Amino acid sequence: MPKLNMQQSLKMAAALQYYDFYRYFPQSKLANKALFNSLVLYRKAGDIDKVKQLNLIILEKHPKDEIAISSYKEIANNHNDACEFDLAAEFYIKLYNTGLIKDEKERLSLIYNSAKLYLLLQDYPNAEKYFAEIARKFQKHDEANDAIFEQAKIKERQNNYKAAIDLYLKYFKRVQISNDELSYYFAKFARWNKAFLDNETLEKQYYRKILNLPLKTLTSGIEFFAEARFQLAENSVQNFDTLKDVVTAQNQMQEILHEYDEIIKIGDHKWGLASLVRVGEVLEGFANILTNAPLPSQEELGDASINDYKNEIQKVIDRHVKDAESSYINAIKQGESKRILTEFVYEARTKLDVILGHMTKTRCYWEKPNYVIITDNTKQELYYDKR
Amino acid sequence: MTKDKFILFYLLIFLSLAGCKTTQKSTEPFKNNKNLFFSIDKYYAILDTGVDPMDKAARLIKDKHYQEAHTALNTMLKKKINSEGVYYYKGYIYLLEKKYDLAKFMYKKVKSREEYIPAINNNLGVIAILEGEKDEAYFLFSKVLKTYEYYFPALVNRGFLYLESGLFERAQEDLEIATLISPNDYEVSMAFGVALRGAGFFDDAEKIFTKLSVDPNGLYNLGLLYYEDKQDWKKAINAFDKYLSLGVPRKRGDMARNYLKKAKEKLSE
Repeated sequence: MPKLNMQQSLKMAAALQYYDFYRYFPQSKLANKALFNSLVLYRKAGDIDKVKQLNLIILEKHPKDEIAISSYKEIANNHNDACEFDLAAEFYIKLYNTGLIKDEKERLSLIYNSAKLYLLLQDYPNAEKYFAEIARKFQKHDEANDAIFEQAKIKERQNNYKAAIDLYLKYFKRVQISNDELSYYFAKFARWNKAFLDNETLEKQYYRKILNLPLKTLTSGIEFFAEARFQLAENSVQNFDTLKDVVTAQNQMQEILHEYDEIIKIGDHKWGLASLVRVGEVLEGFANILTNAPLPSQEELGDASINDYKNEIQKVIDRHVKDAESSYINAIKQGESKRILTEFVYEARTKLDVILGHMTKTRCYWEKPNYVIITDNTKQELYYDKR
Repeated sequence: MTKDKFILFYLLIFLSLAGCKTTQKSTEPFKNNKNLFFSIDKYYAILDTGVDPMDKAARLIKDKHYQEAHTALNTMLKKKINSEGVYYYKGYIYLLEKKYDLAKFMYKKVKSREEYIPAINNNLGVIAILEGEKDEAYFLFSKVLKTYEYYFPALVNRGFLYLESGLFERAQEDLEIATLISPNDYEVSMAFGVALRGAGFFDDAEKIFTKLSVDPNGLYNLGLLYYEDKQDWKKAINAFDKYLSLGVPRKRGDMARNYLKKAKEKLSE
């Protein structure tokens, strides 16, 4: 039981008297002030239970009175400290909606806190609603830009990539960010573009922007820049296998290989490695096109025999397959030595095994981890999260 | 107030004050020991309810009563009892509930309790995997292993990450230590066998798969190893025969039958 000193006892006695006044003269003009004084004195005396009780009385009976401001704040902060974020967010926004707070900065901080807490709780409709209000009503403040950025992140999480890109670009127009950061987002856009969006429109819109990023200004963003270029180059590879005409295929192969060579020069980590795998695939693809190409007529061959032609073509095919093999080996070596975590090492191994005639080497039963271990090490027990 | 209640009331006051003094004395020599976390707050909490609230929360988590565990932990926060421990446990529950943002938020609030750090970094790594951030996950597991070289969960998780990416040599390094720590863990042994085979250590992989051949998947992998790498057709036939006799899934069964047929052809050549 806490010991009370004289000061505390006096405060509590005074608080009780103020509260009694409120109870006996509720119609008095001074009633509200008495209630508020009682609350302040209980707070100073450290009587938490009484403070809670009075806060609830104030919010129940006088929610639109100025004396409610501190009660709203105190209850919201207490919920926040106790990790009851939904209740904290609710009380911040209640206070915001009362209109009792006139100071713009303070109003902003209330709605911003609330929006952030809803975001934390993954309550996206509420978070989005309040961030949108911040962006609309508090345009002069930095938080308005943050709100746009947070809205973009929400759209990204909801897999609404087109809306996310628009919001990110809106944010970039308002806030100056470094080219490294920009390349991070361009890589994201290119990834979404390839996987989910209408390639044509987005490619036209962003391709030039991405390629025009000055390489010299990039440091930590260089790998993202390489990824952006890699993702954009993917479309041409996808169509390559469908080509039938050898000359067209050869010309296109040169272009594709040139682009991947550029990426290998830029990104010496994950995307350089991925490009090595793609180089291998394109070389193999060209070898396949050659294999399936129709044989020329004797007239077209002139003096040469059909067998000589076949031998020559086979040499070209073998050379391309050999180059593809080296490219895969190179990718695997890079992956192992630099510990690069990417599915492309696996892809390189599988492709290499096919060339070498081992159809199943990497296809053991255990193909992917089917669980990860999370731990509560204080109790020395393991919990398995089966995926 | 009856006489009995009056006596009990003052007895409790006396015990509380005496307890406070005793606890202060008893914790003094351990002030610098961060692993010892017996606090006066906790003492009062036990005195109030008769149980250690942290143990109560841990039990609720174990029984998957997450909401009740949250409530118990929130009560501790309101009473300002062992806040960092509460954040740690809440982070853990949020992870189990797949509320990853909240889990990360809670874990970031734990700053001074070193005994929680390896588990927190491991679990943050798991969240990173689940959110598709493999590089971040790798960084976090490696961070744990830099300080706690033999921390089993981080070893296994990093090993899985390597294996998933086809980095077999790296995977077998981590999984080898993990299997030494926990030799009877089936999943870890299987992963170790796959990594060994991928890295070209066929004899070692054979030993692991043979040990696991009481299970259909172990037998299947053993068959593959004999067929593809050792080209020991007799043993391959034996393994696939046994595998097929166990009533396996159709798709994998078809593949095994195909290998069996090919192995028999090779043997007769």
